[in-house]
Amino acid sequence: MMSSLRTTLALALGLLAGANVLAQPEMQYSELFESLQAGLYTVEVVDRISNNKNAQGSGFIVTGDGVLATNYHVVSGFVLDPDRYSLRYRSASGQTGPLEVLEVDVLHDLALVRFADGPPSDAPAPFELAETEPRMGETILALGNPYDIGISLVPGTYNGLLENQYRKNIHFTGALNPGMSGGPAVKTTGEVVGINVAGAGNSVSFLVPVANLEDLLSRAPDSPSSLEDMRARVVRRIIDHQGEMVDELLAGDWSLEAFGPLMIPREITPWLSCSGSGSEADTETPWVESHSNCTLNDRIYLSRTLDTGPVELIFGWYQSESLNEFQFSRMFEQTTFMPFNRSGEDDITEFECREDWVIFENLSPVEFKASYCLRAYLDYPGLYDVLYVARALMPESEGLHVHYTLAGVGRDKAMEFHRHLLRALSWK
Amino acid sequence: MEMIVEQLGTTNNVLDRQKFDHHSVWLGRAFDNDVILSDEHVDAAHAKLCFDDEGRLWLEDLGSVNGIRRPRHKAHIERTEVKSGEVFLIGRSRIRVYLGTHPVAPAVKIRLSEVFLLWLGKPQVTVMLALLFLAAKVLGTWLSTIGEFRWSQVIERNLGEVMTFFALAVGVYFLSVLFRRGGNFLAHLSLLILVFLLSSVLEFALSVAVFSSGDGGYPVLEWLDSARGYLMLFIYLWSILYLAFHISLLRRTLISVVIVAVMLGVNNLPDDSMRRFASPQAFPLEQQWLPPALLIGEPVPAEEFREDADALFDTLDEKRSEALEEREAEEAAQGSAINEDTPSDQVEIESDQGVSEPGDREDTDEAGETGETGETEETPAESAESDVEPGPGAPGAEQSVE
Repeated sequence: MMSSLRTTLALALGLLAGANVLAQPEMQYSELFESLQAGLYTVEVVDRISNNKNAQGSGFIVTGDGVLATNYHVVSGFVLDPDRYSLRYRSASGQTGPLEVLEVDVLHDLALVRFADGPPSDAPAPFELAETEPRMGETILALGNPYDIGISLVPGTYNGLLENQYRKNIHFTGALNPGMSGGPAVKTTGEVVGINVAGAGNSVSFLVPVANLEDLLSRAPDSPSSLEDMRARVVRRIIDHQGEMVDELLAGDWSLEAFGPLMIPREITPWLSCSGSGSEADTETPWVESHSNCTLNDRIYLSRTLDTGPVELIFGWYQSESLNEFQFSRMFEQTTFMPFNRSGEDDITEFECREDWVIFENLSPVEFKASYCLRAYLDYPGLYDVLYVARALMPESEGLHVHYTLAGVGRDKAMEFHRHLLRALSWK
Repeated sequence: MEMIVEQLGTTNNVLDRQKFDHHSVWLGRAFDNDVILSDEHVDAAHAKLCFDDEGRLWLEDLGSVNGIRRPRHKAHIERTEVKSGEVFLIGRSRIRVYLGTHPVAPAVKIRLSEVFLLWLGKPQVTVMLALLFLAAKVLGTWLSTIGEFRWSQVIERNLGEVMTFFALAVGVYFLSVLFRRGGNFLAHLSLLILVFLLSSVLEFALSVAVFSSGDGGYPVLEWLDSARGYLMLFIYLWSILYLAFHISLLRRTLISVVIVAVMLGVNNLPDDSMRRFASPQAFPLEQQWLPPALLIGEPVPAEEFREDADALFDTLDEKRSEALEEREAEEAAQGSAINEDTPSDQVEIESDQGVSEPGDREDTDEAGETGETGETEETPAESAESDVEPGPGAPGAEQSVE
């Protein structure tokens, strides 16, 4: 009897202790929330004439002299059209004032802004930046102002860096909502590990690793330069960065695998993720087709109507036993190729193409009809989207296509990639 | 002295023609007249044509109820001298009077083209052409069927075209009957089929050329393709103007040229601005594929093509500057429009300030929809419905919800 009571007591105590352990983080969160709230700001881009808000996001203080970090996509409206928009902050206590842009990192979607009228006298202490990465599964907390309804704290877990991105973001399990962009994600100790950047729904969200913010802080000037100079630097950085990406691709694993009658490269780098697909012949589609799709769907946000950065490398092979050559060619001409980055009419020129029958030494005697299409970014001189397709029909109803897209690359690297890829291919 | 009296239809087509060598000729409804006009508005004895001593011909009213007049003239004629070839209205009947000495145009030599057009009207020719047409349609349908071929597809795909051909032939036939004496239905049908076959052969030749060509050849081929359409139109018009309307060579050539020129003008109205929106850009430029055995011409070495592609960057830089200038011009135009609108903008500011609801703005937020977590102007309730739809959320693709 006694023993069972003791057991019950022990159990109850144990439960209490357990409850205590569970309750502990909550207490920490509320304290943390209290201590961090003052350093959080709402960042707004406002139309000067109509007073309409163009964008609203979050920002947090990162230096003692009043520099805030936020996302580039929050302030981009102002950076691209400062005559039309103004940039301002709103503090947790309701104070507002103008902001100026110190430096931006378009590649990692970051921006540093500063109180234009100098830091407020009661400016809070800056956020501390974490020196070590969190462990996998560690709880981290995202802060921000979702839908402008007030500062919120969203707990979630750290799931490491995304392998299939070139600019690797943190995979965060927690619901990031519009308006939280630019807010910090902190460890339970309050150190910043990342900056809220995007959500893909169902609590799958992404953070920019804090290391990118440190880089940006280290190269930021002491005082703001003109926005025009800044935009010029942005163009150069994108071209350089995309050039490095192409270099990394060229230095990747170009070992060839069989694909239909052709030998082709597959997963050249870990961030170029490949998938294969194929279909068997049936009465509706009396041909066999198979595809190798390698894509990098890692976009650089440039403006509301424009992004860049994706890479696509696609091979297709078609063959039919039952279609005659006329029927097969009719089927073959139905495949279309489209660029897959986002662009508005005012952002980019129309495509200009060179198209002809080409003979490759490594692939002779089959002739390919090749199309090299190009368009230029209006506001980013030296930056182009390249779309290439080479297709061949062979006797006995067999067809092939080689297709790549490089979005947002410079001329030299585009041509280097072109030469490298087409020399790498061979027949089985 | 000879005179010829023609009874005419409403379009001056000859219904009856009589020749007299009398001194005088009587016209009227009664059966004792030389020219009997079966028209209730004509008197029993209505008019008289007679030569005077000097050999001049006169037309005289015999006191009729409705009188005599010239077409498009109100005035009634009591007695008038007749010029050879003149037309008169007697009651409601139309007559034309010639003198025996009236000159006629020299004979027109029968041209080979005209013989050929008439030959088209032979039933066996039409049947042969119809069979050829059928064969072409079956072949065309079979070669362009990707899935399972069914005979009913031939009918499904071509019924419209066949019906159009028939309707056109019937229409032209009736027009021809209306304006002349009898159209040539079979010849019209044969002509349509022949024009179709000719056009198909040219089209195939052009598709071989497009398939084998590079971008350098496309503009010429495109030009040739539209020239093909106009040529077919010209041939068709020129032929039916002879077959159906018996219009002389010079006139029918002229009429055909004018119609084709008008079509050309209508189709080439300056509409660049519209075309820009109407046709999305195609990749590649031409989607024309045929069996590889039909490929003619020599391919370009890969290195040469690469150099051309490299040079394309310079072209794009020029295009970019042009587009920038164009955009600046547009913005300048819009800027002046905005200045004119300023009063309404100010009203908007006031209303916005009155309702101090920071989330409630008119702009819709794209970033929310694309999965970006910044930038919103919508109220929480609206956004909760529209923006936060869970996307497919493939890891590593932030914007995959786009």
